[in-house]
Amino acid sequence: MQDDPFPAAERILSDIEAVFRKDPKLKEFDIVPVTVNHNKSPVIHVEHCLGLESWCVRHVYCYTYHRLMDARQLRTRREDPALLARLLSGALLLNPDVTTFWNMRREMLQASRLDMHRELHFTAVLLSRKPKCAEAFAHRKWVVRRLLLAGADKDELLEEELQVSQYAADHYPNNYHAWSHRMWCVTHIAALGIDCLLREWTASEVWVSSHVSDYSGMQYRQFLLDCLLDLKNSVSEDIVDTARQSIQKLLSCSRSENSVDITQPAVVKSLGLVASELLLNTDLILRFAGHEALWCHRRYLLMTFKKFISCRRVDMNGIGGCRYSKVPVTRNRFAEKPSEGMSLQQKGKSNNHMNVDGVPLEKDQKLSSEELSALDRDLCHLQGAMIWHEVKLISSCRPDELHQQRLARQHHRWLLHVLKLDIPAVTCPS
Amino acid sequence: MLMKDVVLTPNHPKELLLQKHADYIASYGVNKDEYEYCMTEYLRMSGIYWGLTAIELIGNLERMNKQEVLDFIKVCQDDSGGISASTGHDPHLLYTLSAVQILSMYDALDVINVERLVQYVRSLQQPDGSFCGDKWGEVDTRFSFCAVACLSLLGKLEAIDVEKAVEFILSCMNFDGGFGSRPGSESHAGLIYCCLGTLSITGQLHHVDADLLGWWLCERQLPSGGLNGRPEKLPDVCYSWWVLSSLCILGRLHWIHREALVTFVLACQDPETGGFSDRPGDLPDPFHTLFGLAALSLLGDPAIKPVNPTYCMPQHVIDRLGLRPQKLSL
Repeated sequence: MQDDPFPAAERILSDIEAVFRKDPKLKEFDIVPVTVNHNKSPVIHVEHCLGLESWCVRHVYCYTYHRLMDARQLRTRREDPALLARLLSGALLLNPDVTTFWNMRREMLQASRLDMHRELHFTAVLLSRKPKCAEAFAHRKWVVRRLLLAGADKDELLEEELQVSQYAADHYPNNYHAWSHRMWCVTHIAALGIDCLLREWTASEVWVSSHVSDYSGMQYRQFLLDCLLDLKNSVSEDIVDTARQSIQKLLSCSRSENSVDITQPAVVKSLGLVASELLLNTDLILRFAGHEALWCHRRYLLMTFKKFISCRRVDMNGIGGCRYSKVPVTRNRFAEKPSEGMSLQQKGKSNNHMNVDGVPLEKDQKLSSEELSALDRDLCHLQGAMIWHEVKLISSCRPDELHQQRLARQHHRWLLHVLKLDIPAVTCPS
Repeated sequence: MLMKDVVLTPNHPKELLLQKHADYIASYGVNKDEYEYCMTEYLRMSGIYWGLTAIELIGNLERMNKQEVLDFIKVCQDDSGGISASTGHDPHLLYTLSAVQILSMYDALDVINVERLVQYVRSLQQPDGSFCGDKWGEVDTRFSFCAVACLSLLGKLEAIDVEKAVEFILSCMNFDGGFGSRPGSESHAGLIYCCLGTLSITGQLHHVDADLLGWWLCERQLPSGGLNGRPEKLPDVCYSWWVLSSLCILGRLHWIHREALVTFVLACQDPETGGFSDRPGDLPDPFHTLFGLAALSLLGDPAIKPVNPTYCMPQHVIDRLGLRPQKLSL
């Protein structure tokens, strides 16, 4: 390697570092297409945004890369930590996929040669240019874990992480890593606390309603719904009331003559959550035609709804407990289907008073045979309403919306063959 | 039309440009400039695996410098036993698997310290059965596949807790039958391949709902014939491999529209330089070249050697090693 093939590199790296140091509100980094060197610093800092002129990118990157690889291979000859940090910042901003460079930063963090909170800031700025960078999200998790161990303020950390993942999700559609990161934060920082779950549930309704093509955002909503359905402790009256209204709305839309009068708060909560989400999804499908993501999300809701209803009925008839999963211990209620084989297997251990998650119902939840048959009847009505909604939705596709029609036909096939729903033949008007 | 897809034109290639691809791989890296080299060195070991496997599938492996590759792998093995993407980089399961795949192909596993490598893989298994990619702790089902595939190629699967490893994979199963990177994560065709691959190697495919998952996989096919990896994403040649190999493992390859997919994959060839790109008209790279050729092999192109759907390696190598990864049949 030549000596100092690009003498300006050190200066540029220092300028970048200075911007980070003096602007704690720095929010974006990008490469600015300026192909000619005008003999001034290529580092631009305007309105909390950092830009680097494109003409110098190759030179700066190659310079930092070689310097860092030299440092890595001659570990005994220690580079000055400040210099190393500058080199790493420059290299990672330009190529955040190099795991080894992130490892070097982690080593510096371990040795307290870098500040943890500044590190989160650096990574957030880096993500503005590469919002789907898996390495950056992995690094954040690593830093957050350490901060949690060190007793950092959980609410602040959560707030910051949710903001960063939201920014990334806003800037790159179907951003797998951003949403995975968000799930991790809700699980590990907020410990799936009910307040956080409910806040997220409300916020995500707004988000998915304005991102109807983003299945990843909807899948996050599925994660939240799973968590809310799993909640063992009782939920507030408000939630149960809202849930009851959603169930009634689902029924009244279907012009059902039947009314339901489910009294068990836990059942109302679960059915109501799914019902309200189904109504929202129907509304979005009708307002925004031709979005596969919405139809995929609907499948999840219908499967949850149907499983909930059939499990209840199985419970009540005393055929078997409805533990979804025995082998894999998992949050996921679909890890193992409640297939025939499964219920037979579990027959011996079955319990009439198991709830959907196989947890014994509490004493006051034990139902009399009249109550059980009333619940059974109500669930039957709900299943009827569900089928009515599907038929209505499929038949309401407009003839000029070809893609929507294709999705509706796919949905019909799926209802018949996958959900195995006894649904009449429906033709899309064409 | 809101459909996210590409449009194929009559100008896109329709014939398999076999010789061009061999030339493309054989000369790849020779003309690379310094910047490109520095930008991609962090995944060099996988790059070599993609290139060598691609060129072997079309019967031109002898054009590559075997000794150079073996020497390179040897120096990439770290004291920990893990293998890095290149000299000076840190070891990682991703590159450890790539190295073992290359050495298996060359029948040269004695180049590395196998015992140490096994120890390295074993050290990355977590109490819940999952695997970290390296010592820094990131967990992903990709790494489970790397660990299990790598050890099985070495005949050392018993070094890890296989039952736990399977348990973790199953905990990542979703309502649509698919799998994501961690429990609760969205189904993703690439990760579905990794999870099915793990279950195939460990003989645990009976846990999968093959019809349900097959349904989801088939819906990845778009009107252009190409496959995407998730709903509302663009088609991409690499998903031709991940979706197709998954369907093949599930014994449901015939559920896809074969001719349409072949047309799409062929349209992704670069008629000038050789090689395949993600979509018609984009720049080719070794990654998409391997997955394009491997997909065509699964689709029965007689000019390409049979590929094993679980390992993404030539079938004759898997046969020589005496491995019989599980496959379902309908």
